[in-house]
Amino acid sequence: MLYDPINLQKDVWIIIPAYNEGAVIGNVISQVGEMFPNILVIDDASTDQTFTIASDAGALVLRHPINLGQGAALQTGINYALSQGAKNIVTFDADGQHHIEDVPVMLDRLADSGADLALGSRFLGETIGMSQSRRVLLRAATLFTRLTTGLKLTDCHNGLRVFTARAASQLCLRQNRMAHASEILAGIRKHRLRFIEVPVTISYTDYSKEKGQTFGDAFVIFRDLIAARLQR
Amino acid sequence: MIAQIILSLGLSGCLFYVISLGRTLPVVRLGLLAVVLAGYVFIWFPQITNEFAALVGIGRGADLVMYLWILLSLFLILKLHIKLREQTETLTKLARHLTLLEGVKKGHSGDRKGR
Repeated sequence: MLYDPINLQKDVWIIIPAYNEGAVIGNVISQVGEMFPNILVIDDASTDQTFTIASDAGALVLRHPINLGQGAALQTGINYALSQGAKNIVTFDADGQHHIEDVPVMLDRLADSGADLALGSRFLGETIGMSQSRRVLLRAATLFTRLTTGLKLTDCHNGLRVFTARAASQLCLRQNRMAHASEILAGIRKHRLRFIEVPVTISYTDYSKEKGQTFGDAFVIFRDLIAARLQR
Repeated sequence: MIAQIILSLGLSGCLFYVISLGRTLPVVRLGLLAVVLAGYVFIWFPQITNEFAALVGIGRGADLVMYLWILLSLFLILKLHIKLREQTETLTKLARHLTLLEGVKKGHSGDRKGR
């Protein structure tokens, strides 16, 4: 399908949280820019050239004054996109794991289904270069999420998502760091949002593996979720 | 007697800190106050710890004090962790507000403008 960036995708905002992603962010923005005109990078107080490279590549860039975490960066991006009249908001990773070609399909499926958000699923789609240990970890996390939230998901920690403006405005992320993915799923349940899963491709590179989550992070996420529960 | 006086002085320092907290951190404040008061009693009347320990089925008073200390410490750490999270949330809102206020930035030659 041929997409006309100016006429068809002007209400779609691609949000890319980035922290020290100078090595890859320029290439990611170039690829996204071939399909979508509204690219918003939230530079989470990077200490490298992320901000300059993202700007030079043509993205709009918001810069946090201090490092807050990926969840906080996403919420900042969502707030900004909503203020600009976005009708659909796409969350997209800066490390080059996601394929922009999947996004038009997700947008189509979301519109056709009438759901509130579309979640990418690598287990319905394809993975390139994923290690066996990561597969086991993600499967375990998905099983845990299914048991705790009751949501029938195949992939619970995929950063490629498409929100309608209504869904995005309801999900107010308070988990600054990695636990935001679980918080989004909890929000889906809490606000009774309708979601669909769409097959996507995730490519693992040496770079993305180095930047990605580790087994130990699962404990950090679990701790943050418990603490959030106790906070209220 | 010397040890008791030194320990009591230390606890008095804690008591001063608890009072200085004013009305902030009510749960932490009450927890610390309970620890300080119990500490005074246990320092000056150590045999009471043995009686309490026997009452709840623990062999020695020293063990009882240690268990209680561990429990209270964990509880206070949890409360402080939650308080820290709340402050982080406030800081996040402030940082986000500043970020959005400043608007999008352009990288070329460092000039910035809102959109």
